[in-house]
Amino acid sequence: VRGDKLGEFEELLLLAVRASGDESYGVPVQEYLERVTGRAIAMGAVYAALDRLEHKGFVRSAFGPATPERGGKRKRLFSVTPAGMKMLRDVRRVRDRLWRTIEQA
Amino acid sequence: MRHTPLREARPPALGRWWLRRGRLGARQDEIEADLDELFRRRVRAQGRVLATWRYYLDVSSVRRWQRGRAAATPRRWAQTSTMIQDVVFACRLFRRQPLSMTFAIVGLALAIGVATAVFSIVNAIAFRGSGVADPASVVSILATVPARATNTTPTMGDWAYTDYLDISPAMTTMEVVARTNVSGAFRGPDDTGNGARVGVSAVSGNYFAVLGGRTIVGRPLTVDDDVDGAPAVAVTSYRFWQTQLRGDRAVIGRRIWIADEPFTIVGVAARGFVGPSSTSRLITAPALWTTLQGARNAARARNTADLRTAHASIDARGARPQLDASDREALGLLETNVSTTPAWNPPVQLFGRLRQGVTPHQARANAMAAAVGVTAGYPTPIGQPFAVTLGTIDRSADGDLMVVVSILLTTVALIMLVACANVANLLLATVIRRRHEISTRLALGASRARVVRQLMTESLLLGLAAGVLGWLLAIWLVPVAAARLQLPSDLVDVSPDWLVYVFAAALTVAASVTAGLTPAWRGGRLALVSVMKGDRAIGQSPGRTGRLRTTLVAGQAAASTLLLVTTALFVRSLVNASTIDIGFDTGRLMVVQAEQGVERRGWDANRIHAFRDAVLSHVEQVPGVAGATLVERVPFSGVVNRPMPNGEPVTRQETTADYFETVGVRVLRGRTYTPDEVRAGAPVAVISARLAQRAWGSDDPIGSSMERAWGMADLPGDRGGIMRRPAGTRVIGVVADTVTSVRHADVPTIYLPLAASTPAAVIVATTGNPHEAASRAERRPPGQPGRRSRGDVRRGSAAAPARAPGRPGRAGDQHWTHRARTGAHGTVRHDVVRCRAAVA
Repeated sequence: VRGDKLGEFEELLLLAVRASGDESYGVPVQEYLERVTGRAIAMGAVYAALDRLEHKGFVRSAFGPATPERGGKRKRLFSVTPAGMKMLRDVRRVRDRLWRTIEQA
Repeated sequence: MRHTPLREARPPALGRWWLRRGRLGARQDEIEADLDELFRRRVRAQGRVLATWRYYLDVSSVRRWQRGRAAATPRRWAQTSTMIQDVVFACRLFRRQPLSMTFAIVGLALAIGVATAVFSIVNAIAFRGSGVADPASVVSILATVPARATNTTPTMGDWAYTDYLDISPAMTTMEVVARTNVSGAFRGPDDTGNGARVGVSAVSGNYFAVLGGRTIVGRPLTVDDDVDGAPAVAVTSYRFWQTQLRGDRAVIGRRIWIADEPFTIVGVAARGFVGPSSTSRLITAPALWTTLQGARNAARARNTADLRTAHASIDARGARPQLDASDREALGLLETNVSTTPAWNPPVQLFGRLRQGVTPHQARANAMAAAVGVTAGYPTPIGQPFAVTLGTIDRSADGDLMVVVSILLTTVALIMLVACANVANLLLATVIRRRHEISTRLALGASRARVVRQLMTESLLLGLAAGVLGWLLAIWLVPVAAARLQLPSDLVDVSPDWLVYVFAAALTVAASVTAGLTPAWRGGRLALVSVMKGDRAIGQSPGRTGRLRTTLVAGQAAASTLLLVTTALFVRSLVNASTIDIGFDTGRLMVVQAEQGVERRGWDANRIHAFRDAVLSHVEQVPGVAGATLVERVPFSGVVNRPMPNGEPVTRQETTADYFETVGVRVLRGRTYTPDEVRAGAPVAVISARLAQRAWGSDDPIGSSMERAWGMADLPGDRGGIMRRPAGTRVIGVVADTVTSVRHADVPTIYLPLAASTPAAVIVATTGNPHEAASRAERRPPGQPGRRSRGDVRRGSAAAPARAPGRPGRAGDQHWTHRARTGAHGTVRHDVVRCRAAVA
C-alpha cells in the first residue's frame, strides 16, 4: 500500500465507487456523490481523488468496451480493491466506536 | 414518443476547445466523453444554461487537476532543460570572465595533460601486463649456470638450448617453454624497411599455446613449426606490424628478412602480448617471434654463407697455402658449425606453466630433480654448484620499479593538487563576486541544492574544457617524452589504451569535483539576509570563508613548494649524475663485441692467451685506436656483485694487464698485474680504495692476503668462475674507486688477472671521438645491393658504451664479421676474426 490515509472526500468517493456497482466510471460516481451529499462536485475533484485512490491501491481501473452513446469512446471503470474495502471497514469501525461512546455518554 | 436524442446536445465549442488545450494526454478521450455525457444528462435534468455553466466549471477543475499532476511528476525533459539552462548560464559566466576562466582552464589542462602523459608512459612501462594468460601460474625457471656451454655468454638464470631439450620432457609438473633473443637488421616485403636492428625471439613451438598468446591476424606459432626442416615462419608483434608493416592485413604469407634470412609471416600477435619477463627491465615485445628451429636453420644458412665467403676471399688472395695450422683449424670449426647441429646452442630462458593443482614447491623439486638428473654428466662450466629456482613473472613484485612508479604517480598527484587548489581558489573568488546574484536567486525561491548544482555545473564544464585540452596536450606530449626517454618506439607501445582513457576521464571528473565542491558548498550556504543587506561578503560567520581561502592558498603553496623542492633535487641529481667522477674516462671508450666462446673450445690456457694477444694487437692497429684491453664484464652492462663475509657487496672483475691504463683507472698505491702474471694466472689482486678502507682500515693492504676481504679462499679442486677466490691471492695494488653500476655506485671492486676460462669483452680506447670510429665501421659492405645492415653498430652514450664491429677492413673481411655478428654466434665471430687476421 503506497499510502494509508484516507481523506473525507476520498472515503465518500470510495463508497460511491462501491455503491455504483459495475457501472462505476466518472459520470455515475460524480452524480451519485452529488445526490447523496447534496452539494456540487467538480469532475476535476473526482478525477484527482480517483487518481490518488488508485495510487494508494484502494481502487483499480480498467477500460470498458467502446459504446456508441459516447461516440465510440471507452469508459474507465473503477472497482474497489480488497485493500480499499479493508480501509473502509476500518474507518467505519472507528466511527462506530466513537458513536457508541457518544451515545453511551 | 421520441425524446430529443441526447447526442444532439453538445457542449459549447469554446468549452470543448478549452478542454482540448488542457493536454490530458492518454486520458483526453475518456474525460472528453465523460464531460459530454454529463453535459447531456444535465441538459436533460437542469436545462442547457445550467449545464453549460457546470460544464465550464468542470473543464476548469479538470485543467487544474492536470496542472497539479504535471507539477507533481516532473518530466525528464524538464530536468534536461534545467541542465541546459545551467550549462548556458555557465557559458555566459565564462564569457563574462574570459581571462580568469582561460587561466583556470589552461592551468587545469596543463596538469591533466602532464598527468595523463606521465600515466601513459608509466602504464606502458609498468602496468601493461605481459599479455600472458593467467600469469600467476607461470614461473620463470632459473638455473645458476647452464649445464652445458653455450655459444654466447649466458646471463644468470639462462640454460643451454640442449639443456632445455633434455630437461623439458622430465618436467612433469609444468609445461615448459623456451625463448632466446636474437636481433638483426630488418628488411620488409618489397625491399621496404629501414634496415634498423630489430629484436627477434626464437621460441619453442608451444610458446603461444602455453602462454595464451593470441593473434589478431593469421595464426600463432605451433609445435609443427618447430621441427627440423619446417619452413622459417614468424609471428610479428602488433606494434611492429603497425609501425613497420603499415598494419597491412595482407602481410600474411609474405616474406621479410631479418639479418638477410627470410621468414614467412604467418600471424600478427594481439596487441599487448609481450611474453613473460623474469627481469626488472623494461618489458619490450620483440618485433617477431620465430621458432627455435627456424633460428637454428637461419644460423646454419648464415654459417654456410660465411664459410663460402671465407673460402672465396682466401682463394681470391691466393692465401690458402700461407694459412698456419691454427688458421686451418679455425676454418675447420666454421665447417663444423655448418655441418653439425650441436654447434648451435644458444642460452635460452625457460618459463613454465604449472599444471592444475601443482604448488610452486612441488614444481621446483621436480625442476631440480629433472635438471640434476639430465645434467649429471656435464660438469658446470664455471664451477658453481648447480641449482634451480623458480621466479615470478609478476611485475608488481618488482620493488625497484614500483618505487619509481610510486614516485612518479605521487608527483602527478601533487601537480593535480596544486592545479585543483588553484581552480578552487578562483571559483571561490567568483562565488564571492557573485554573492548578490546567488542570494537573489535564493530569495526568488531557488533551493540551495539548485544553487549548488549550478555552481557544480560550472566547475564540471570548466573541467571538461580542461580535460579536452589536457588530452590534446597528452597526445602531443607522450611521443615527445618517449623520444626524450629514448624508449624504442617500435618496441614500447606508449599509445593510450583503455586504462589511459579511464584514467584521463576519471582525472577530469575528479579534478572538476575537487575544484568545484568547496566553492559550490560555500555558495549554497550564503547568508541570504546579510548578503542582501550588503553586510558581509559570504558565509554565515565572518571568518569562515577567509579561513577557507587561507587554507586553500596554504595547501597550494605547500604542494608547490614540495614540487619545487622535488624538482630541484631531481635536477641536482641529474647534474650530479652527469658530472660524477666514475673513475675512468668513458668519453673515448668503445666496446667491441668479439672474443666469445674461445674459452670453451678446449684450447689450453697458453693458446687462449696468445689468441687474445693477437686479437688485441689487431684491434690496436685500427686508425684512431689508442689501446685495447679485455675485461670480464663491461662496466654498466650488468656487473655482478657478490657479498663479502661481512655481507657487504663487492664487484669482481677479471681484466688483462693493460685494463687500468686503457680505461684510465688511477693507480693509488702499489702496482697492477703484468701481462706475464695474467698469462701465468698469478694469485695477485688489485683492489679499489674503498675496499682497502673497509677491509684494511689504516693498515697497508699491499702484500697481505685477500682472505681478509673475501673470507675463505676456494678449496682445492674448485674450477673457478665468477665466484673464484684463488687460494693464496695477495694484494699488489690499490686503484681509484670506479662506478660501474648505476644502482650500486659505492660498491668496491676486486680486480684479478683474466683467467683463460673467463669469457671477456674488448674495450677500446680511441684517440678521438669514438663515435667517428663507430661511423667508419658503420659503412655498409659493398656487393650487397639492397641489403642494409646499419643496425650492426649502435651508438651509445658514455654510460652505455658504443659497440663497433671492429676494424673497417677489406670488403670480404667485413662481410664475414657482419655475417657473423648478426646472429648469436660468438664462436663463429671469433673464428672470423681469426681468419681475418690470417688473410689481412
